[in-house]
Amino acid sequence: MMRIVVICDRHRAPALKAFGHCFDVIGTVGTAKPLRDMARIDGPEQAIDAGVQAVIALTPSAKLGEWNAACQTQQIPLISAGPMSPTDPNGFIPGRWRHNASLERIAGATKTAQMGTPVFLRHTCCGDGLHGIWWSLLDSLDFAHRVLGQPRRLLVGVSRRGSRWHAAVTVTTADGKTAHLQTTPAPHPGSDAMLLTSGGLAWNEASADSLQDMDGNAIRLDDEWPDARWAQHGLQQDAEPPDSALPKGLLTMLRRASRNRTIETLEL
Amino acid sequence: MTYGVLLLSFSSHSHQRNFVPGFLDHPGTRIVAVADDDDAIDDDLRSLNRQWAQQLGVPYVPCVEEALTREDVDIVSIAHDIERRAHLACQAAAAGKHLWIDKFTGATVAECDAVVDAVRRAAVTSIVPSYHYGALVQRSLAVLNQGQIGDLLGVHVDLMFSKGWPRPVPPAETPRDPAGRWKYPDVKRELLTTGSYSVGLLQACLAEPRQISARGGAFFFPEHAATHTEDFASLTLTDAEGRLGSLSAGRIGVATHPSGGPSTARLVGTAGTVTIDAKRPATNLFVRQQIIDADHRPAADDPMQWASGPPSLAPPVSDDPAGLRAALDDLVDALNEERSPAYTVKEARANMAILLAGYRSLATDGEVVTV
Repeated sequence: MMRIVVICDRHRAPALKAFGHCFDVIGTVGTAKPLRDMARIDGPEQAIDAGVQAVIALTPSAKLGEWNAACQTQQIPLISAGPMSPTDPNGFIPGRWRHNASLERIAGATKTAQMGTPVFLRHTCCGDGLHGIWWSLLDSLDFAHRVLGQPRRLLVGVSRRGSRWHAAVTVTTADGKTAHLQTTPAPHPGSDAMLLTSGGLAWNEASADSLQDMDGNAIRLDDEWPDARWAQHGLQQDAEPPDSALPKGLLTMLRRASRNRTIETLEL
Repeated sequence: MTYGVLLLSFSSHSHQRNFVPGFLDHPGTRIVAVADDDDAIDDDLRSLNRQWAQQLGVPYVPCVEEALTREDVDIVSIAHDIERRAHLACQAAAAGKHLWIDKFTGATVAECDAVVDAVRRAAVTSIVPSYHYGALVQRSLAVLNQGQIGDLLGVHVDLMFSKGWPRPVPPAETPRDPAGRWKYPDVKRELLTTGSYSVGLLQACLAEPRQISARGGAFFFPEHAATHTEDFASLTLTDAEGRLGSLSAGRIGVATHPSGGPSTARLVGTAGTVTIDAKRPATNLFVRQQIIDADHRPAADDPMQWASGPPSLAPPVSDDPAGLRAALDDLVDALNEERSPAYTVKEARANMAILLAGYRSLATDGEVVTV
């Protein structure tokens, strides 16, 4: 199995579980607590010494630039679930949602003639911090693009308390379709979606399988994090390029909406 | 003590028929008469009002002013067309009667203001029962009050009715600003009709809105396309504390949901996110023959199913999911304790102001409106 290092924040830590089935995870970078058999990696040198063969960034990190430079020098592939910066898509493999079977099924429902025409899509994904919600929304926008068609306008709102960020984006298309995309700072596999069409309704059930502990906390048992499958796909030499362009200006609008507490409009 | 209730009209555009069982069953209320202004209504409504009075075994009074002079009337349940409600509410308040008003207190913010003013001047008690007492709002408030999700960052609601028989819709213009007109023979404006429930939840959880954007259109019914009205709409807002809210609302056609339409809220907080489904817990009832024989076609005299519901495979377990019984408890307790109910004409006025700002945005294809 390929020896990898995963860059991952706390809120996406549950996604690490599935990596052990398809990769030899040397360790993790970031605030995610490493799982059993995984170490915390201090920097690229330690990973290179341990024979790392690929680096996978599930969430943004202040150390991403350092890792990217080291990987380029050593010719080690680095793939990320979002762009390094608005002008540098190097290593970005869009479409993490496509490896979530529930979302694929909802997107596929539109191919059934009896479902008619899409009307409205709601999708919830997770991300925290400015760059975290940016990455998550780019993925969610790719999902909305696939389901509704080319977005024409985005209305961007951000709500923030301390280090906790929440964004809501209204996507509109030229032919009257609408999507509401929102991020949550709590861990969430991103499979919560509802699609209304002229012929029906498709939605994923909120988890029915959960374990209730003695303190009253519910732990979901059927979380479907797409990250490991996305990484496997992204590391293939013949991985297909994305079919939707990055909406330029989204990061700026998120920053402005947060600062001004206003709904910002981004024409595409 | 029991309070005498006067039922003001059984307009097909309202929910008086839904209120009757509560007034009959509640130990604190009794129905004493049905009334309307016969010279201002059509034959169908005149006949319907009389049928209900006969069925309930109470007199029908063909003049509202005369009915309001009855000493056995303590509460007036107003469920007339939206365009007549403000006038009737002001009239009843001036007569010293307490008010139970179906959903909307007026057709415009000015009319809603007049009702708020009339209630204040007459020092009567008012309640608008439809928004605050249902499962979605009460469960959301319970979660927020327990503090489990930390500070609230946003609320997102999907509430739709799986009603009506959709048919191909011709290309339609952007829906028009209602400008005080709500009554159509065949359609209801659905940002108003179904969206107001979700606005009730946003009101309960968030502060006053600052910016609003809405979109909508005719996607399911040619009747809406022909009248430049919406059968589906969505709305996004920010509140005075920078928090986010959104809703989707509409009449989306029969057989699209096992419980008659989604009724779901997502509350996003700093310490957690919760999804609340007002249709859960539900009892799944799959009777083979009933499913095979199920006829989802609406009755010919109620094509949009304003007065009827679709067959439900998974009805909610709660016997009061809309909270009408809880609302009546609140009104009776408020009268006994000389306090205000949780949701009065004042909150209903704010609800209407949010919807009308939404309509201003909707008519301009989603331009952001500052409130």
